[in-house]
Amino acid sequence: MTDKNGFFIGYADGLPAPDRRFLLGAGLAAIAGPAFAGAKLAAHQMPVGSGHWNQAKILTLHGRVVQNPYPVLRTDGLDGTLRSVALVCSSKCGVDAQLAVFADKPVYVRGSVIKRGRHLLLAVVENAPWIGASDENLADEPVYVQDMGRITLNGEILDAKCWSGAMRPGRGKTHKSCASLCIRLGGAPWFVAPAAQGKRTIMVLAGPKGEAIRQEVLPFVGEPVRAKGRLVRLDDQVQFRIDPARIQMI
Amino acid sequence: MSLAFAHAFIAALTFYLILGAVFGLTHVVFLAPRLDAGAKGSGFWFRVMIFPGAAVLWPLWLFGLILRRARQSPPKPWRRLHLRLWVVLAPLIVLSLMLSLMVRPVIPKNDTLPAALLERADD
Amino acid sequence: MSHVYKAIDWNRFKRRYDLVLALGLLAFLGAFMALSIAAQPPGQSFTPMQLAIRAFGAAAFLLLNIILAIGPLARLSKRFIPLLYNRRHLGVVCFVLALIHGVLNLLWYQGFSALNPLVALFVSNPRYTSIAGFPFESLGFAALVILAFLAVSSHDYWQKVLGSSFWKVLHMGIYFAYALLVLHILLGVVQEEKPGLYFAAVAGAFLLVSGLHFASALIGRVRDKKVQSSLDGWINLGDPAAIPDTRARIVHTEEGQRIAVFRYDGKISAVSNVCAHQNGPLGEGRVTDGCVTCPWHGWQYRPEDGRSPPPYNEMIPTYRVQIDNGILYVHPQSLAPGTPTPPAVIEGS
Repeated sequence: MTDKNGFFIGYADGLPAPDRRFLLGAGLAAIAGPAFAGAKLAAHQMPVGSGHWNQAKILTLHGRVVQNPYPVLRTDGLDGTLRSVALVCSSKCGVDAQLAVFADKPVYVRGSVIKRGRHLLLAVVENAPWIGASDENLADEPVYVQDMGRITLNGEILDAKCWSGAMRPGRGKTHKSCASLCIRLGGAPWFVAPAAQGKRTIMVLAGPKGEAIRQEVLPFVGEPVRAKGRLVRLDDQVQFRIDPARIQMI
Repeated sequence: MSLAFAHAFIAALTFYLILGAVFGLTHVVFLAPRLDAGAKGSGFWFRVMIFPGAAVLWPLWLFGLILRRARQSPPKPWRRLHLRLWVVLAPLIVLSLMLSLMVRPVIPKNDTLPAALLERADD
Repeated sequence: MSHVYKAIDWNRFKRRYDLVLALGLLAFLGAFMALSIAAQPPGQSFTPMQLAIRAFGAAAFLLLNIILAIGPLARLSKRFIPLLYNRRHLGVVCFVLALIHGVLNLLWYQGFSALNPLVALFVSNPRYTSIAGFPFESLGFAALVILAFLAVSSHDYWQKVLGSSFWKVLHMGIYFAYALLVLHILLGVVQEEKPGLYFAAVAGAFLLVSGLHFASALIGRVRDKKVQSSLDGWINLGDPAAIPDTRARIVHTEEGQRIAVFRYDGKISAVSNVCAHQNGPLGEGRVTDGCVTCPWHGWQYRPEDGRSPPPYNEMIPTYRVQIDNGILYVHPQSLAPGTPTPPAVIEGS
């Protein structure tokens, strides 16, 4: 039912010739245009970093657990040198509660490694027993502590696990609520401070006496902030001890 | 938003949708053919297709039924309403465009960091 | 037009329309995902979930802009009218894309915790009083709720049950959803990505869509020259032969009504310019097979009584016409929908 004068009726079987040509062009544009737009938008995205979480490979690491102030396994089981491996949940929770019994005792921990740069984390296996007393003969070296002085830094508070590879990207505005949720439920807040020439420093964020701070920093997660505090080296981790009440938004 | 408020909000939403499922089922099975002659003898897939509407829009059609509102109001041209909405919304969107440029987060670089602590940013 | 409703009244044009839609979507999603991976060093690309979240969100917003552009484009040029015909499929697909984006977000960013993900969505970022730190996810949620209302009520059945006017007003909610989504994107991904392209894309899309709307409103205003009726109430339309055969002249009365005055088979009839279906401009349609045919979705009405031919039962208001001394007159007082009115016969035709 097409009108002879070339009038478009959607349910009619034939299309008027001028409409057919125009719609063919519009159809091709409706395929090529989005392809071009999609490619352009995708290529413009920020790098998401080299963080990686090898969930398929479950390791058993032996070492000693300390609260620094967030759970850390001190182990030489990964590369032969003594490393601080942050212990985190596989989902969004904290592992602190299960650790009290094992403080400073030799333990084994089962989980998968999350790695970004020189930062190491172990996401523990949640659906099975993941920690127990180790019968290996492990040296009990004291934690190396070095006070590096007071400093004021600009940076962003983020969740250790997300940033290190559980999420890519694991920083910025779109990730803000995820990072807040992780820290609220027991994740470890880290602080990334950008420096000149494409460099930066990653620090563990803690209270003035090196205690854990979580709820206090929630409003500041994923935003540009300035904080005044003290840098303290603990083994191969650097801690930024701040007063959370005095964090400033930039 | 407080945790209690969020819980209450989600609970209310769930309640609304559960009620909607009940009303919706009633609507597609019993009410549809009475409300519109075109729905008499319509197929199963038509009922499936209008079910989400019946479940989500239940306050709208229910109050329409209760108040016996005249369903066939004469058609009107709506161009003026379109224009009014745009005249209100367009400046608001322009404002949010400008705002978004102003609030863009920028972290100033730190030049006091001990060199020993620096690592490459692309890792 | 519907006699007995079907889930979807398929025809060849709709199938082709949807095929182009599917190909366009695949092209966008494919290009976005491929380039997102290719633009990053090996092994350093997005997690598949976060990639999908971005791709589906961007696709939904792009489609929403296209949907909003079609209306004014069809007013500006008749060539775009066929794109209107199946626009509701675009709308439903846009909602589905936005829903996928939203659900993946909930699972990935708000899931895996002891909290209900929907609760977490509203509480995990507490900064409701800030602009820069605002939980932009809640804006997206509000827009998704609006899109859901529109998508579930898109079948013609709901237009009939809810009433045509109410349905139309409900569907203007699309503009609020659009404004919310612009803000959602501006306070979300635009804040995080490199400055430039993302902002320009949102701003450009908005300028295009709003420019088209204002241009079509302006042109409508120019076309909308109102005619005055004479003392006895009749409007003088001059020579009836000046109206092209099978076409209409649209008359805008002082009372703000639009009347479509059709010439066909040597006769003149006048009906409302507003289609009972989606309020399409009947006067821009034609008389085919003895019926006034709407240019938007092809709904038909007999010019003599404003009724759809059986088995359909839609009705539109009619107007009285007369030819006196070779001059055509129409009376601006509308008659009840479906009132039979004798056509005026053009002498010598």
